[in-house]
Amino acid sequence: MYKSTFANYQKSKNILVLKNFYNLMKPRVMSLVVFTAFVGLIITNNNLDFFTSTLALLFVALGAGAAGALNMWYDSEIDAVMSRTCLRPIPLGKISNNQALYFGISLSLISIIGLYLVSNILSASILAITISFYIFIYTIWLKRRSTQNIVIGGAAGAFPPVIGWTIANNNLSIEPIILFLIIFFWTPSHF
Amino acid sequence: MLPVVSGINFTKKNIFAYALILFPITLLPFYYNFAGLFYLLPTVTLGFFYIFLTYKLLKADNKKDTIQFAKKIFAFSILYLFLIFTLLLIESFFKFF
Repeated sequence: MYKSTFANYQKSKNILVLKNFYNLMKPRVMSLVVFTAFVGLIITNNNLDFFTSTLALLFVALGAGAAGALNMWYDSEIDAVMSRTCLRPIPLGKISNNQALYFGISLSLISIIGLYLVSNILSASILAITISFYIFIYTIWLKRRSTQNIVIGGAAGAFPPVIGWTIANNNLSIEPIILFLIIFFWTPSHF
Repeated sequence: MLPVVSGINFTKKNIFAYALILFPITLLPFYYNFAGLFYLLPTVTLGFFYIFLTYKLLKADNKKDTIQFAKKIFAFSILYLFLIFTLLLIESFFKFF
């Protein structure tokens, strides 16, 4: 009996570990990213097959998760002192800084290469730019220096429908740019 | 974050200004013909309501009202963006048929 209780404990602990990594990926941001990318993909009216579309959107979701994890890696110290963010996995001590860093880097590479393999170089490049923008421009550079971080950093959140569009269309036109602008100007009033 | 760094009044003005800027941009899908009246009418209605809420926040002169409208705007803005994209999605399905 003790053995099975212990096994159950181990099992629940493993699930908790997974849940921490899941939380590290900012799941609510991820769901918005997938939804807007999906809309960008559908409005092209290109009949991309279901399997390719799903796989491509999955890689976009992983890319968003990677950006979330790297953001939490870099910001763990300031996250610990703001009430909204102090319950994130790293400030809670559930995940170490290095774990988050390696997780974020691996996930970035998997998502970018994966998206290139199932769709095209344009989509993969925009995903790479989005992740880099979110980490280097928003998280590392602007966030601690300027209140305009919200406005400019918002661009990262505005890219997903553009990626959705290029997955299906492999080019850029006015429609994805408009979707980009809608999210871009929607974001600032949020903070 | 902005209320902490720059003060509440500056934040209120920003929120109102961005609501005003967002409104004409949400009309662009109609202007560029990838959405029709089915998109336009709800979007205009939602946009006016969003501007109304942010105006109420701008004019709120006590803490209680400010917090109340700020919470409303946060919830409504998510719905607003979600509905805009959902309407675009439904419209493009129409085009399929």
